[in-house]
Amino acid sequence: MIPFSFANWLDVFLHFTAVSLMAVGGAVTVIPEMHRHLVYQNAWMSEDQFAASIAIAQSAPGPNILVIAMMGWHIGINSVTTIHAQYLWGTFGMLLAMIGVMLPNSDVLNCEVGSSQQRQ
Amino acid sequence: MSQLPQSKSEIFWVFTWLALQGFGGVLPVAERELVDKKRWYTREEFLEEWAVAQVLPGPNVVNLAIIFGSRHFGLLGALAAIAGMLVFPMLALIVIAITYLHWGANPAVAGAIKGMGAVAAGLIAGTSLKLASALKKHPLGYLPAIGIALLCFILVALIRIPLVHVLLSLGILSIYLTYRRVKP
Repeated sequence: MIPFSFANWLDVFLHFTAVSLMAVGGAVTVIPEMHRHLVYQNAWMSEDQFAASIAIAQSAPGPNILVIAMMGWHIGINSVTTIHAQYLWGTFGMLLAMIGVMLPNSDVLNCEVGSSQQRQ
Repeated sequence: MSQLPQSKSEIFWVFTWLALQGFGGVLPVAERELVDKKRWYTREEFLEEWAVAQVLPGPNVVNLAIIFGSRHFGLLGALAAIAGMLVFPMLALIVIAITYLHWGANPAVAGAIKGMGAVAAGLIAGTSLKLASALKKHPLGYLPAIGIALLCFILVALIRIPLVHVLLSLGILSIYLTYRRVKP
């Protein structure tokens, strides 16, 4: 188990936001960066879990960006020990990671909604 | 002549349906569903909007969903499209993740995941080779462009320098060199 503080979760959130801004050409281009930060530097998940995140996200239906959700899941389940806490924190990690990675999209939302209102 | 989506819930379900068909990437499915089946886009409109979605920050398909949804129904339309793209795939992912959590140690499951990992690595390597062949037409010339790509690989994958430093140094340098070459 890897104890996780509020500051750690904030770090995870901001990491995924930063990665989202650097992902020119899709989620695949930032996989090495995520590996460096999450596995190599902080050891928040194992090599096996990192590889499984990519394998599962690529094989499951849905956009490739869901690889980020799997990373969040693994960080979450590593932070607690009992099985029900793992379900809870895994899902929490998944949502936190996805909100982090979609935060830069909200700029798009702002200007698109603004311009569509102008058109009406 | 392109047609119009009737309601926000229609947008939600169309995006859900296209996301659930997208194994290893949603773009080809999105093009087929939105252009050929629903006729909400002409092919040219779709490619144009996809180009915009790629340049904007954040995940590309999410940008496409936002642009499309907000065009027709404003903020709620954008939310309907994003929710359609993500809700059901994420529920499916939670089920798969729980399964992996319980049976990941089982040799058969571990082997299957390793195999899928090999396929994913192959797909990514294939994509980069396809992109590398486009460097033949690069203004800097084939060899210098390959050199920059290799240098980037070494910095990121072998020396493990944070990506932001590589983008700000090597990225800006190569943009500058290309600009010098192509400027009139």
